[in-house]
Amino acid sequence: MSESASTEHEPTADDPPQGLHEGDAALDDALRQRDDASRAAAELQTRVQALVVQLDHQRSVAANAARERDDYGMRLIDAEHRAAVIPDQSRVDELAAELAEVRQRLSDLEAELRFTHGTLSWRVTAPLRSLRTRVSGRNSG
Amino acid sequence: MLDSPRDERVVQGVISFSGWVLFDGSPADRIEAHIGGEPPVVLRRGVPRPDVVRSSGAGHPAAIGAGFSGSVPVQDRWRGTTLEVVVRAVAEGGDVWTSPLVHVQVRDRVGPVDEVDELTLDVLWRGEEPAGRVPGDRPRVCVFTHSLNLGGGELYLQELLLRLHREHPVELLVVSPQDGPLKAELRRAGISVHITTHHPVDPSRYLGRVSELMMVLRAWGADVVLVNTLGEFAPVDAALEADVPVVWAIHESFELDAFSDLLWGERGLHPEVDRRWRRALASANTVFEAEATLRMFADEVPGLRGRIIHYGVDVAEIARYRREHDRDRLRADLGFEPQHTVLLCMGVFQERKSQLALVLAFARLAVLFPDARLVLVGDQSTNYAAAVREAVDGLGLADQVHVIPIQRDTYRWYHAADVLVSASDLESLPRSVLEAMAFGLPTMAADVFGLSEVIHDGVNGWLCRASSGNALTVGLRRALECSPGERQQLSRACLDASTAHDSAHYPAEYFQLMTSALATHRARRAARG
Repeated sequence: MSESASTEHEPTADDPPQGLHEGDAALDDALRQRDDASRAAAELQTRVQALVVQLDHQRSVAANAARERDDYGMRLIDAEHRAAVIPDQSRVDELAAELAEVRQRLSDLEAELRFTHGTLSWRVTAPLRSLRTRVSGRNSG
Repeated sequence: MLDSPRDERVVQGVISFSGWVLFDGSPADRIEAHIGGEPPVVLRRGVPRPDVVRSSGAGHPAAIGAGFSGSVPVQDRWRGTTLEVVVRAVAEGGDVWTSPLVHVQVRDRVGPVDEVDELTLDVLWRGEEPAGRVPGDRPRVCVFTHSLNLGGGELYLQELLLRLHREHPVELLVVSPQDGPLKAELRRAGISVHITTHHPVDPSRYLGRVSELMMVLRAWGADVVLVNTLGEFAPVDAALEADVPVVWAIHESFELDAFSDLLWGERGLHPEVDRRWRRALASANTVFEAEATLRMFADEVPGLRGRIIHYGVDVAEIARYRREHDRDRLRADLGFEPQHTVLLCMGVFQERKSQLALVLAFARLAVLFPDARLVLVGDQSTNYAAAVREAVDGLGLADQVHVIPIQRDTYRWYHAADVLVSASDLESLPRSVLEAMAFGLPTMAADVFGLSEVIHDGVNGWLCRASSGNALTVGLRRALECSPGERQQLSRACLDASTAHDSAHYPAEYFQLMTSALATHRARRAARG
């Protein structure tokens, strides 16, 4: 092995000081960490966006169910009004059947809505909201 | 009939809608504005139209609530374009009415006018802090509010101030442009109150007022400024200019342009004053009571330093009231019989609280539920309140609907009632809902902003879609149909949940926020030398 191939040599004025090597390593490490954090933030952002889409979908399902519930509710009120003033006894059975049907559909819709409301409640969506806050905080910060 | 906007109308800040619709003598279930290709915007229904009643004769008493209104803030992408606008109304049974198409020109925002260059803020007083004060001993908090009347926002502050004064080492000075019954109560508690005039918003007088307010803050030696409600921005501006930390409690759930239109008209604020308003919002420590409201402001105000402080009511005092007052006797005294189901609507009569829409919805159920009673507390001498009274009389509901003036003693109404109703289409988190919960009253509410943060449908109340006559009617029916056993279950859930809204907590949080803002401020000043 010739001397020139040796990895060890006397330090000269042109050689970078030891501290600089350590600084370079630390900088590399910091840059790697920054890249990792950026990737994690991007992934988090994607997850949040997907969850927001899901949540919006759930909301529109709930809104439609509520509208349908209200339509049936108004039908029921209308039928009750007619039943309250009905002069003809022969139509009572017919109206009673209509009332029972509307009441049943109303009760199904209310159960459906309770379930949807449960999935949309503030308690259930709290993790999503905190995630969104964290991500938007990170972006703005 | 679409009264506004007219065809070829030119707008800048908001598009204002008004008009009326009747389907066979009944108001619409739902009214929407369709603007360009945008998703529809729901308009307020149940707006009084006495002119329609007069023109339709006595045959249609419900016509009093045939009106609609709304302000839609202009989006930046609409500027410089002409929009096609129609209003669409859906009847209770599904029939549809569509207004004629109108064209609305949206112009660019007017830039600062020449006059702005001459607008300068004069610092009128550069004196030192008052002699003999030891800074930090008892922070001096100068409080600015819009009014000392009996409204939700005012009572929110009242509770806060009385507790701060009693439980925390602070000195308080309250400044209000509007006098009211709360002044005497504050003074009795030993809190100084100063009544002044409304803060002007025309640019030169506005800046003059800000200078004067700065002088007040410096002369009194204010350590912290506490401001109540969104429209009170001049004191916030003054505190920022005087370098005094400021905490701003915002209850309103309006978009800024819509709020500006409501308070200052279609032309809004002068651009320079508007700029200062928005800067104040971004720079102050803002406090909101509902997460939904905070989110809306965060979207509108870049850099908003907002936080939530859940406010509350005096749960212990309400519990004591319930123990000490016999409910059956109270109900009898108020004219209710044991079989009556009493629905209570608590709030100053005003359009956004939708008392008129509530009366119209109740009218659909009055015959079916003859033992139902609706009590509306909050009557006052306004045109809107007169329309509510007219609807009650015109619809023949005087036996079942009681209209009660605004009053300080509201506890007896909560104690006597079975259900609270909130039909508001714009509300952050009404105090009445928290009070009702502490009384064990389930609430039937239109689902807006913070309401779903405290009401869980079927658990401690009922929620219905906002701004829909059908939804409100069905919501009322659900509440009325509820059996006493079910209602008792909901009532227990309300009482359990009410402990989370005890006012014992929020003054401590405010105190902590103010003292930490003050400490940060002092540290920064010390660092500056």
